[in-house]
Amino acid sequence: MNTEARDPIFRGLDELAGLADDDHVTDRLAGISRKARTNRIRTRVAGAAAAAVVVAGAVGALQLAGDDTNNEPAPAPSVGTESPSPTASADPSALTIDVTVSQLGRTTLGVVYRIHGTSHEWVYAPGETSDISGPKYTRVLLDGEEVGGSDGGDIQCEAGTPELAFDETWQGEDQRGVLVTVPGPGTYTIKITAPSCGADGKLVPNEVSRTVTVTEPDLVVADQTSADIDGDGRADQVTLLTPVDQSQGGYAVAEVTRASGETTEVQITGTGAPKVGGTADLNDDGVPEVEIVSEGENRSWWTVLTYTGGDVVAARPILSGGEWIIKPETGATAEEYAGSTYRDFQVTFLRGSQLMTGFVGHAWDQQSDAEVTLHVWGLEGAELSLGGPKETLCVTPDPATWTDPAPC
Amino acid sequence: MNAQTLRGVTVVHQDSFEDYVRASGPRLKRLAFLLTGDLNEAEDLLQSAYAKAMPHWSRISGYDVPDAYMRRVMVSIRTSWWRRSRGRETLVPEIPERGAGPASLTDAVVDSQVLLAALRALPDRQRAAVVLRHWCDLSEAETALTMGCSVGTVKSTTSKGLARLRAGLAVNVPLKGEASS
Repeated sequence: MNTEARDPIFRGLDELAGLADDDHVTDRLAGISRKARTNRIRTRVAGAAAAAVVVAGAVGALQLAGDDTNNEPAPAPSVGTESPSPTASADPSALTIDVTVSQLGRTTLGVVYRIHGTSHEWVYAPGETSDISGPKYTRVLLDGEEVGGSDGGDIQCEAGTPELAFDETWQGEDQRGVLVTVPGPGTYTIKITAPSCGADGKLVPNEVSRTVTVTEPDLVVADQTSADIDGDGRADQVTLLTPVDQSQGGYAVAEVTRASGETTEVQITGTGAPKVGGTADLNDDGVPEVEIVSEGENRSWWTVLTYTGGDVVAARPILSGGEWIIKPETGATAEEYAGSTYRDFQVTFLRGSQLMTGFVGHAWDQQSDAEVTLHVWGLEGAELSLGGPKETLCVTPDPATWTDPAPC
Repeated sequence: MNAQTLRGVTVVHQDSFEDYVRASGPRLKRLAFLLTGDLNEAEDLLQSAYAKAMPHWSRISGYDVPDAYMRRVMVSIRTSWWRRSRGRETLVPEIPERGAGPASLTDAVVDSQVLLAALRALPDRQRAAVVLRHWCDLSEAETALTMGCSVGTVKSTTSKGLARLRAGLAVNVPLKGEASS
């Protein structure tokens, strides 16, 4: 560290850095291992995405076209740069946009886009070049309405800045692309814009459009159960449906047909075949919730169906102020904790009226039972929270004898 | 190194990497906090950097200073995050003025909240340059290597960062490195 103790900046920074010492993470390795594994999966997915020029018609009959409405999938990530605006640069340097759209669910599209080419460097103000590389302002628009992208801040073009080469792919947090929700089956226009700067200091408005037709996918029943989910004293039917073809990303639709005759569809993201994990009254209101689990090749998912506000919804984890929160015991974020788990690193199970989860990653190098700290999820309305009590149980790391955690 | 199969998945586990994580965690967490200005994000950044290093640990462990690799990865990841989420960040363009005018530097720097606010207000690269130069005590060449830029860029970025930091702290005294940049 800085040996110039007289440096006031060092002293201030060092004192400030000391605040990090109060935030102990007892088992950082579990989180690291999980991230490393995620990186491997992402690398594989990214490679597949690069190879797959356009994904279409995988679940249901997603159809893509350039700017027309033909029903054939686009043969290549064709580039669509529209006519420049009257103030646009005449400079030939421009960014090329390749876009891949996948239907990830009944009403969810995943938009992955790659921006490559050259642009002259952006500036924040005259004479003040930006200190980052890459496209500064990209937008994803669904029928003209902005639904995603990145804000590059107050950027400008200036003549005479150096020309830079860019090649970046935007795949979203989980590599499935920028998630775009559409109202239902129909035809939509996805537009990606990514301006660049010309040598003359004027903006080059690069953009590409895709027409997407979303149709109803073929679904099959994966699992079903009966439970009085709305508490009217009569059994309601919960049916889990999955697309026949899950090759482009799995999801499930929970179709809840209540005894009253009303039907609600809840889309659940996940991979593999979903099944009913069990029913339990998680919020102690006398009405059971339905836990749904889904195990894919590498990951497992779970969610809870609950009746609130007069309808059946999938409960969501509470995130602190909209931010991800770090769990001191595991290093995991709440969102990962609740929404996507590795079956080899996490156990999720119902015990009585309690939904419990806990990481078991630290158990892999143990030959005997390992202690696991299990959290009990609380449910209020449609929100799951980890504010409940914790309990230490034991698991056996041997896959041949794996059972739910039990008292040590 | 040992391998263990858990629920059908073989996990390769290197003790030396574990040792390194446990030993380096506290100091690198401090760096991550200064780079991000947020404890939660710092832990995420740190774990992400370790996750990048883990598959290559047999090579990295042979380096004279594995921390140098980790610093480079952390700065790179942080820049990547910032680039992707810039529009969602809450930037603080100006630090509210302190009513009493220029305070003594000692008063200012001991006020961690003031410093944290000023640090957060710096553009990402400027913050990294200031932290690497003035807290990690890296040379300009080492900082350039860590940030993946030229020495000249380090000089100018550090200079701008210090100027903004000084403005944020509402003090006006010479700071280390300013004279040479």
